[in-house]
Amino acid sequence: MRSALLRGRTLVVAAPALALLATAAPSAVAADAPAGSAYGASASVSLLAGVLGDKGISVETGKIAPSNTDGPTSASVVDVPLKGLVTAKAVSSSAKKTDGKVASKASIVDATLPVLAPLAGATPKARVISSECTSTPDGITASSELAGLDLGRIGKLPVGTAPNQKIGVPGVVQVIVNEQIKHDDGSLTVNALHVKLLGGKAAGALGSGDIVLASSTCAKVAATPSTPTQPTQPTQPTAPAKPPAQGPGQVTVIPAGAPETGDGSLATVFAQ
Amino acid sequence: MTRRRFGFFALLVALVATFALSGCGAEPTPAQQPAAPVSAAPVVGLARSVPVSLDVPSIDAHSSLVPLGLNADKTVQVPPVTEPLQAGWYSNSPTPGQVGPAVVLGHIDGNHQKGIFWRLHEVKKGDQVVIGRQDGSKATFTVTKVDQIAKKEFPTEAVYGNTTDPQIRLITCGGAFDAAAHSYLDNIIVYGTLNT
Repeated sequence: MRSALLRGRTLVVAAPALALLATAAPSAVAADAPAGSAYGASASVSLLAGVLGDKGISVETGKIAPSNTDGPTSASVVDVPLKGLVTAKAVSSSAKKTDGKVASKASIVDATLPVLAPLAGATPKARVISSECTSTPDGITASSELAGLDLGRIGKLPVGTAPNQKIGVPGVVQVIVNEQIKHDDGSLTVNALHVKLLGGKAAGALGSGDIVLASSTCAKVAATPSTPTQPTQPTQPTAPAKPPAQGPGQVTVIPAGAPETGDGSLATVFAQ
Repeated sequence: MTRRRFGFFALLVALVATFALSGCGAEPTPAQQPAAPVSAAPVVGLARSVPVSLDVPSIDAHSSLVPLGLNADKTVQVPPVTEPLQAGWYSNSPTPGQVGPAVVLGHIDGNHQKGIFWRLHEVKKGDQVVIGRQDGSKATFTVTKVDQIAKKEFPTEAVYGNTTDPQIRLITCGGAFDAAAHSYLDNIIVYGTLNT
């Protein structure tokens, strides 16, 4: 049994002018969305015949044990078999807002992932799979814990602290550990484990779809504009598809740091 | 309800802050004057059209434009340093002429040749920047400000932050070269607004 505590600190609240302007419209539009939400597990997959049983099956579980800050603020389900894909002794989540701080948590206790057994060589088990995020005016932090998770032949679980570490079998399955997704409205979702089944063509294929375990989401909370902080977590470039507040233009992804242009081959002044 | 009010408040704060930024060193033009903070009709700008060419006549800089994305470390890509005369447009910024800050990058030097922006520091307020666009139109900008600033103090908000009118940024390196770090210490940044 090994244990990995993965912390990906992600500061999402950015510079006052920049971030607020960029997100003013989405947050106004999403005025009724809860500040925080979480769920224990969800699966939306189609399995090929022979993976779990003789026939192929399609599974759409929706969100299991969902909670959000607008209520119910906590939820739990005992003895959850996700149609044999995943089993767990308990799945729970909570999302609470207190004193302007939002905290969301999701956890799964004593989980097994029979769906990955053909690839792993044995049924992967974990004592705890959990994620949590906290949002304050200073930003959003998120982390995941995967205690005692062994994925066998699929790959060694990364021990680093970075979010979005991936292991898997090309063309068959991708497992994203401590997946962190920043949304356009500034909110952040952390999934402790995201299993993507990549299709039915490659050897050893299982099927297609997604299984998400222990998902927590935190929205930005009202910030008193303070020190500019650069977002460290990339978002998917959504260039022209999603116009921001001020019309069709604007920068959709702010690069990190300063551009490096030139190799100094003609530089005449050198730093000490 | 409180969240809705926050969105409104944030928009106000952001508008004010943006004007403060884009107004630095530049005479506020009528287009930049907010009539009424939220209900003001934004400057429409041109439709989206990918930029294909760059001309800065005052420094004799002429180049086609290639689209640039992000490196794995999330810094902005630059054109190949082996082709220092090639400028590029950051494709997660608006196309020049659209509302917002369109970002164009070019090398100061590379491969022992002068780069497209070798003379960018010579650009003066009032100079013209002409961008040719894929739809055949041209977007012409007037330079409002030229800055040389240390990379470690790179003005992310001023360069990439939202603007209420179509603007352009031309960026290259400058200042002393830190041979150990293989990096110039400064950036030269030219700011311009679309001629109307």
